[in-house]
Formats: sequence, C-alpha cells, structure tokens
Amino acid sequence: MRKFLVLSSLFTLLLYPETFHSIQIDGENDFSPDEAVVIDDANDSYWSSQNELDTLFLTWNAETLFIGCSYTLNNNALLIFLDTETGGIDNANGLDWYPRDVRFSGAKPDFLVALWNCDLSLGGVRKLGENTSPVSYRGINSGSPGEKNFLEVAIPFELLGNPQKISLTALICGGDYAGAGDVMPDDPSVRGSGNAIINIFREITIDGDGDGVPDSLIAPVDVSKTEEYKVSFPEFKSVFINPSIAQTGPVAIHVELTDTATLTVALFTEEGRFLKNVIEGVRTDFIEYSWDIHDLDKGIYILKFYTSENRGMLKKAFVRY
Amino acid sequence: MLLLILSSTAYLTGMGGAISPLERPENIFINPASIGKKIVHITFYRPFNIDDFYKGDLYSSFILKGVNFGVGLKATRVNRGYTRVISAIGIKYGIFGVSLSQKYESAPGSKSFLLNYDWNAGIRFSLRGFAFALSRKRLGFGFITSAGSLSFETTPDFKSLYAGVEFIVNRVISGSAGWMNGRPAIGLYLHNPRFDIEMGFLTNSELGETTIVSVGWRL
Repeated sequence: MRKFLVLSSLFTLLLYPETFHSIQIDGENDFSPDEAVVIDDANDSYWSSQNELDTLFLTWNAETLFIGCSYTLNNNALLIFLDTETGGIDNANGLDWYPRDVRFSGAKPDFLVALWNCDLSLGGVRKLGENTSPVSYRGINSGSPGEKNFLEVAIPFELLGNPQKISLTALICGGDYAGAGDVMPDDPSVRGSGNAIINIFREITIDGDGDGVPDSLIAPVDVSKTEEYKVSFPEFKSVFINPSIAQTGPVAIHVELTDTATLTVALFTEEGRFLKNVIEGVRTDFIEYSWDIHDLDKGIYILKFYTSENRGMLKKAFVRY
Repeated sequence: MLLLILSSTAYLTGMGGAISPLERPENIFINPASIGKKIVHITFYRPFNIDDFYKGDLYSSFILKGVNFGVGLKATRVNRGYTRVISAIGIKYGIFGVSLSQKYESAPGSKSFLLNYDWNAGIRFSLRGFAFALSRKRLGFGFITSAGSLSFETTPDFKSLYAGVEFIVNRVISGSAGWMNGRPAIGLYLHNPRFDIEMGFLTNSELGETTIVSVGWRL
C-alpha cells in the first residue's frame, strides 16, 4: 500500500508538475509544460530562423528560482531581463556589461541573464545598476550556434531579494549597443533594427500570500500573466537659459525633468555643426548649471537638451554678442 | 535659359552658390561675380524649427545700362531680443564682381548698434561645361549641362563643404540634392514665366529638419 502511494504520488508529480520542482542543471530540459510561462511564435524573428526565441520556462523550490530558455542563436546575444523589486534600470544601453539598445517602460529590470553566441562562459547572471555586479548561479547551455539550444540557470532567491513577483522579458540582440531581433513576450517595439522600448512583460507571482516563502503546489502558468505598461519616460518640465542673449558669463542653464534621467546638453553652431557637450550624462531631475561662456566666440548657437531615456529633445537658441 | 531661373534656396540645400550656373542674386554675399540678372527673391525659414529663431532673406538683381547690380538683406532674429541684418550691394561686369556689405546688430544691454563693414570680390568663368568661381568667401568648381549641374564648394578656411547635384526635369520642375557640411538636403522648385516657388528641406540627424520656403518674381 505504501509503495503504491509513493508511486502514485510520483506519477501525479510527473503528470502535474508543480512547485516546488527542482530542476537538474544538466542541459536537459526537464521543465514541464506547466512551467512554460512564455511560448513565443515560431518564425517571428526579424533576423531569420537562426535567431529565434522559442519558450521561456520558470519554476522554483523553496530556495531557488529556475529559469529555462529554448532558442536558436547565431552570432548574437541572448538576454533575459528580470525585474524583482522597485528600482532597476530603464535603459540597457548604459550598462557596463552586455549594453544593448533596449529601454524599458513600466518594469525596470534589476537582474540580467545573458550569453553570447550560445556560450554561457561569455555571459552569466548580474545584478543591474549603475555598475553591474556578478551574481552566484548554477547554469548550463546545451547546443551550438544555429541549432536549437537550451539554457537553464538556477539562482538562489536570497540573491534575488526573495521577490513576491518577477517580471521577465527575453531578447535576442546583436553586439554591444545593438538593437533586438526577437523578444518574448512579443513587443511591437522590437523591429529588428533601432532602439526598442519594452513595455510588455510576463509577470509571475511567486509568493502570492506574502509570507516570505515561495508558494508551493502551484503551476507557474496559473500565476503568470502578461502585463503591458504604458510607455512613459522622463520629460522636460522646464528648460531655460538665463540670459539667452549674453555678452559675458556666467549663464544659468536651468533644466527640470518629470523624473530622474541622464541629461546631456550639447552645443551646436548656428549652421548645426556640433561643437561640444556643455553638460554630459548627468543623472538628475533638476539642474541649475552655471555655464562659463568666456571661450565662446561671438555668434548664434544652438543648445540641444536630451536624455538617454527619451528620444525627445528640446532646442534653444543662445546668442553671445 | 532654365539654368538662369533656378532657385535661391539651392544654396541652402547643398548646392552651394558660388558656382552658380544659376547666377542667383544672393551670390552677392558669396561671390559677386555670380549674381543674377533680373529677379527678386524672398526666403524665410526657422533653423531646425527652434522657437524664437527666424531667418529671412531678400535679394534682387537688375541690369542698369548694361551693368549687372545686386542688392540683398539677410535678417536674423533670435530670442526676441537679438537682431542681425546683413545688407549688401554688388556689381558684376563680365566675369568679375565686387560687393560691399554691412552688418548691423542689436541686443539688449547693447548701448550702441554694432556696425561692421566687409567687402568681397570674385571671379567666375566657365569653360566647356566646367565652371570655376573664386572669391574671398567661397571657392568652388562645378560642371554644368542643360540637364542640371554638379558642384563642389568650400570656404577659404576649408571648414565648410558643400556638394550638390541639380537636375532640371522640365521648364516647370527642377530639384536639387546635396550635402551641406555632411548633412543631406533636398530642394524642389516650381517655376513659371513670372514666378518661382521653392521648398527646401535640410536634415540634421541631431537637430532635426529645417524647412525653407522661397518665392521669386522675375523682373
């Protein structure tokens, strides 16, 4: 009788895999269909079937989060962004590790699983911030470029900050500072070239009762939903140059943004030729900059205000006479 | 004949100006040896669509007792306080031309007007389709046919470079495409026996576009 109960329990687990489910990190896909939290459309990559995302798996046990990804890749990068808590990054182009021309609206990822050309030794897992920092993990990638690959990684929840929810997006991107060719969940901003603004994420509730312990005996697909956030980025609230016509300095450059962003103010000639950056890559939501114009020749100039988080820009004319 | 009535915005859309298969009147600022014959042109634009930044040009050329004269005004208004007007008068005889210009500036806090005078002299000639134009302000050469022209120009300090091609579709439509300091630009021109209407588009990947509108009357 006891043997029967053990066997039937094992059979049930095999048929209906639920958390807590420990994945063997061996390159074999032993995730279950109930752990396939995102199934991507076949042949929807902008970069041919050689660079195609397939399925994103996720499950956990009490201590560890397991992520699996089946995909095909050829001379490109696979990136899986995780948002586990408040804060995080909204522009992957500014990263010091795997920088890519991808921005985020709504969720702000704080962890990244990445590899280059099916080689996990060229990637890994890092915590994102102004500077990225490696995170301890177990992982393996099986397969070779141009063929079907399977990546699986195990990350301790403790290192992820014991999140209640995780939002995910996986992308295939080119080299440093390049854009994306495929994404799952699908996001229309990925078009195979140029900048992408990801605002669609798969959100998985891991600790629904908020007791600090990941939930057990649930199928991850049952606690998964696709979240589409409104795209919004810091905008200019007020910008002025005082005085905007000056003979001598200093000149005050005042910039106020709706949110913190990386601000640059560039100086151009009247004809539109770039001269220099007056303010370069300053992280702020308000600045009152004292601009020394003594080395500026007499003439009309154009100041361009922009943030790395937003494609929008603002232009003002300035005269030194 | 058509070559003579082409645009005044061409110099803003990569065509340069001193080569002037067009003999445009605004050339009194570039090379007085290239000024036009009998035409009036008014041009208006806002550089890169920046608020409170306006530019307007007015040019005219005419013939008096067999001598070609040109007059022009280039006005700039910025931030509702700064005004710059450059006026010029030029004369052309044969392949030679000279001009005098005066710059007027006013700005808040400036107790007196600033007045600067300048002069220019140039030569322009063509040989078997090749045109050469040299002046204090601009050096250039080009190739001219009845279907259009090709031109390359630079300033004497070589800081600015203009290259462009102008094509004449028919007696009504012509156009230009070119580079101004590495920036692409296109122009579309419509003509009839009395009027020219011209639109120019300058693109700048960092500052955006400038749309130039010009209207001309042939005298």
